[in-house]
Amino acid sequence: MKRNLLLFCIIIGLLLGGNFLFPLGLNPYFYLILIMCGVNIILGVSLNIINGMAGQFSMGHAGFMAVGAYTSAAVTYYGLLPHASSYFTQPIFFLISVLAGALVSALFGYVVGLPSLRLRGDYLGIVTLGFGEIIRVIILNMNVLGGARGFTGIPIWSNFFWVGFFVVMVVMVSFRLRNSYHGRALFSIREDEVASEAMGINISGYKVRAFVLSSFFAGIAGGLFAHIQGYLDPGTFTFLKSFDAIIIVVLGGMGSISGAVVAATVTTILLEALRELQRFTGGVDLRMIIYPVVLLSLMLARPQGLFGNKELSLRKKR
Amino acid sequence: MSLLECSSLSMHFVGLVAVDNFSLNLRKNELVGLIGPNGAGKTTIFNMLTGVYTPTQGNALLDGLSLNELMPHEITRLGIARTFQNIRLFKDLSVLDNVRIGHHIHMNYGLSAMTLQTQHYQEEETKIMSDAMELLKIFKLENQAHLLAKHLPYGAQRELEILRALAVRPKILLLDEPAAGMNRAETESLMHTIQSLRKTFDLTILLIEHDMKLVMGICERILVLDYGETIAEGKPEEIQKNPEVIKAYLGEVHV
Repeated sequence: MKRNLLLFCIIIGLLLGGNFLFPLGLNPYFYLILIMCGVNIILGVSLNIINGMAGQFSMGHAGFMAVGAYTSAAVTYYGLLPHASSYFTQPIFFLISVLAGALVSALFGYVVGLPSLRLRGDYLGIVTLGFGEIIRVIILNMNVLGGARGFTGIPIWSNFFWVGFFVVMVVMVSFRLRNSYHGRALFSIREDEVASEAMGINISGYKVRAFVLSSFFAGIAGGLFAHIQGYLDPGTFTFLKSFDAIIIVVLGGMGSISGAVVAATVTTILLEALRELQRFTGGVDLRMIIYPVVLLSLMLARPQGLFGNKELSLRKKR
Repeated sequence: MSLLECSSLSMHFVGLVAVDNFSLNLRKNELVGLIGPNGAGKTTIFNMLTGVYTPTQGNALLDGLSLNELMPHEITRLGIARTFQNIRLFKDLSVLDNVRIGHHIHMNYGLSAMTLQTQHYQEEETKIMSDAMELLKIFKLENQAHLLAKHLPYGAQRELEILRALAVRPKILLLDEPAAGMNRAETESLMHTIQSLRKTFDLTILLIEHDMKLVMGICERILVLDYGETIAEGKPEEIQKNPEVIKAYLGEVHV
């Protein structure tokens, strides 16, 4: 318990320090990339719980993120903004708003998790893909949420501290899940459902739990994302966003948390860095050619992903 | 008083009768063999007892409790563990994790204890860690604990499956062809291990096996199945002489 508290204080301290220093030293563009890295890490690590650990092929992660983002934005815009926000109440408001988004997203995760009990592999993939698109189309037609015009007027509350805080929380919970019997139960479902059940594991219960936890985290990513630029567009949450998350998980190695963290960082930075290439190609955008080539060659060279099933660890393996 | 009581269990797959009218009374600490030619329905019986299939007829009672309506994981909690004919290990997980997953039903800290890694969490995790290592010692696998299960040699994989089932701490252990693919020396040592495991863990064992030396050597009672029907039941010596059994295995002499 003491160790937890100490760790918590150190992390908060570091994040507050970073939050103060980064905006000073970094130009706004790099700062934005840094923050987007954080959001993508949360997205990748959360999908890793369903796809990587429990082995359920979900392709609707953008849907959960959208639910989180729009719920959080609506809570902030309609619920909290009318109340005067001071320097002290604003962090509390933001925390409430992000957690509200995450909770609603988790509720959706529960609903989507139920079909996962009957469907396997590609079929589950299709259902979750459909879910993601349904969410997007519903948002597109909701005037309260801005519809196709997009949701404007969200305060810019996301900063290095908050994104960093949630990254640390999500990654830590994931690691601790992995090192618990709950996590091992998820892995056993991925490996062999029949044997898993024979070991007394309630596989239906664990699949739904995986969906709920994963969508809760995706909702956090959404909530943070909503408050980065003060603007949300339903077009952000197409199935391409879901695939971005899948790419992170597969590239990092199915089930590897550190893999997802590294892959999320690499893909986010790579996509931005490739923009610079336009200077030499005379405005021709080669990003969407080079990026897939990099992914393809990585998958050919390391089919098991960057980290395979392993984790980076400070402790030495016994 | 019998521990497991099966009365006229039947399993029909549409037109096919896989198992017909199977009855068995398993007493505590008994070691019973289930033999029969391929396709006789032996594994189907295991699948009915563990809840993979629901019998189309009949009932199985464990300590007087009906198993028919229960899910496989609920039956495991009541104390029946099994191994599989075609090895079903968690291949991409470590040997240690395979055994620790076997301990699943004996763990009970919640998600919040997991997140905060409380005292309770630490105690339970340390305990199953040492329990698992203790189990691995039975087959001298403790030095391979961090190897992936798929990297173990075939014989060791079969042994690991038995350990994983033992980790459940079952009352009844169902072994589906534990000696399949093993040579004579390995089978011999497995025979002794099964006998000693029964003593140390106070087990009741039901075992499917084709290796007659093993079956005749350790089983106290043998049931013979052919085309889903029980054609003989008795002590090993009786079974060896039973004309019905010889007919099922070797066929009839046509003059």
